[in-house]
Amino acid sequence: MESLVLDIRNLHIGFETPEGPLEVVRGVDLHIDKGETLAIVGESGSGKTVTCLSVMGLLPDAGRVKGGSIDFQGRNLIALPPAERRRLSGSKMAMIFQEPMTSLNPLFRVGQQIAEAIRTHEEVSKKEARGRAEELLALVRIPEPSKRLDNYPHELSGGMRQRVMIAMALAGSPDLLIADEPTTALDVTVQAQILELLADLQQELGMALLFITHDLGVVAGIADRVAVMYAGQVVETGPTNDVYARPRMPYTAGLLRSVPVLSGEHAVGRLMAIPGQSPRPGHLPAGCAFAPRCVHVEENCTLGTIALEQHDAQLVRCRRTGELDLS
Amino acid sequence: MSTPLLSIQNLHVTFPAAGGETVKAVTNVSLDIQAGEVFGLVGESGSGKTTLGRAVLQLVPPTKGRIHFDGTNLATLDRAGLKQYRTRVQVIFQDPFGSLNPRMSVGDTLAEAAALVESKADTPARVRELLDLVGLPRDAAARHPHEFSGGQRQRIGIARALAVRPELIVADEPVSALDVSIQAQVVNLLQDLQAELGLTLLFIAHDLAVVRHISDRIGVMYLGRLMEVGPANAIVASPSHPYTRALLSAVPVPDPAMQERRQILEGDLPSPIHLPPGCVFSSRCPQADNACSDSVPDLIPIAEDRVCACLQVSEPAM
Repeated sequence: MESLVLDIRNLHIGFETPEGPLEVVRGVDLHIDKGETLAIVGESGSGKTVTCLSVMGLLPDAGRVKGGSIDFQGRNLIALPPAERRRLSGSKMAMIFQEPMTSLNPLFRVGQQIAEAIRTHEEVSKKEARGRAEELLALVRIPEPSKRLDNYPHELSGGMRQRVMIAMALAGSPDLLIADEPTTALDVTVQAQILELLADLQQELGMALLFITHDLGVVAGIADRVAVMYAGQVVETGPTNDVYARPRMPYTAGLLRSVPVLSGEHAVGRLMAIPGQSPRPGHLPAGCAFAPRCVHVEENCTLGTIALEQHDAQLVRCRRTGELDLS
Repeated sequence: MSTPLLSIQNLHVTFPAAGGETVKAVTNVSLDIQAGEVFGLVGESGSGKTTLGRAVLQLVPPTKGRIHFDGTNLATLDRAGLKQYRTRVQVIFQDPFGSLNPRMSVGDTLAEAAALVESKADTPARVRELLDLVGLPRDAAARHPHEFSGGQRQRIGIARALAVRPELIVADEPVSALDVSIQAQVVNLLQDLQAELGLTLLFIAHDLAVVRHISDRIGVMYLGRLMEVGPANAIVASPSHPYTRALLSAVPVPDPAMQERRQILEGDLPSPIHLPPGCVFSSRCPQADNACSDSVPDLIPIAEDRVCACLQVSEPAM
């Protein structure tokens, strides 16, 4: 398929720790088409961030890809020589992070930083780069972009800083933008602005967007498809509307119900909490990793390995999904 | 109505800023909380909600105005009085790891607090009771904070707050650092404990959905001022203040069908040093007209048990 931008197959990632090797991503399959938005949803320790760092080639030193493939526009990134991989992932894919203040250099004006990013990708004069930087600031809807070029990061609000980071990420006209919790540190009214901006930019530029978040509410507004991760695996994936209307994995259903909502039947009374807590890597139960917390657990759930199976448009990792109505 | 347990009257809190300027963190806030009530204070960063909580805890001095607890003006308390006040009012912070001593076992942490109000003989039994109350295993007493997950640490933080048998608990963003599935567990626990022990709770958070879930009444703050106060259900079902409406509209809803009708506020929060003239929300308000930047609107009654500070929202003919 020529529209396929990213195709991750059977990805395994391990970390070396003082207690020995730990597998934190355990056989992940994901793909994104051109112009599509895929959201990876998961709680801390689910492996969502590590998966995306491996796509960018940014795994910390202790982390290693132990198996599988990451095809970007038809080329397996893992098999590429480092220099070629850097060239490809430096220009055609970009990533933005949760905390823009720590990703920007406090000692340089934002215009210089964006211009530097542009000159990394293209051979242009400093003057041209500054002009492009101004265009990029206008693209991310920053008012008075020519004035803002001369601001230092601390002179901008959190929302403006995240816009600057998005502008830098777009400097190389990427085909894939990875956004790791880009609105989590922002106030809710500013979060709404940034989500709208990302959705607009994706429409305008036709890039693929891989959006990582713990917030199911954020996903609902932005993603075409969603992949729910738990303990290093994808446990359910499918079109956002289908997964939200009819979750087929008890973890997805539990997650959806535990979010406090403002209206509807669950708006008052007790929240539907999921009992227990996520397993630590290296201390996974046999069978389904969610089994110890699952209200629908049966003996069968704790045996063997459980594969992702197709149910209509969804892929679900659950032995009991056929018999359960979780919607 | 009986005397409120906590009564805040015309509270102002300011901090000095660089260049001889002043940060106006809380401006002219008045608020009563009845015994046994859960009052939710919601707002974004810079709204002054945390400073208000810290003023109630006497961790920052009020610049102007008064805070009465159980009828006593806190400004009149001497050292002994303040010490006693601090057994009646407790706090739960956002990051339990930052507020627990990493070198003390959980049992020692709880015993140290419990010993302030219990006899030496009763303290060990009280520690076990506290662990039961917050749903931690009894063997947790011998372990240290780093051995627990975030949700369990917050339970330890709650147990420590309960150790002195307080009447009022100020909970400042107690669940915002937790994963969604764990957040629900802790919200439920707080709700249960509040009902079981008859606690009064000042619940401070940025997440309107969480606040709505736990609170009897809600106060909405923006740039140091109270914009609207009323019963939680009424505020959410029919928000009066344009800011409350914008805040409600911005909350991400986990339902793809609900995403279309969003009203997105433009711009950023103005500086708390140079507040906009008139209504502090006027610079971002979709409904503001010239009058809004001329005078500061008072909180006026708009329905039973509801007040709102907006020139566009008028007093009903009663």
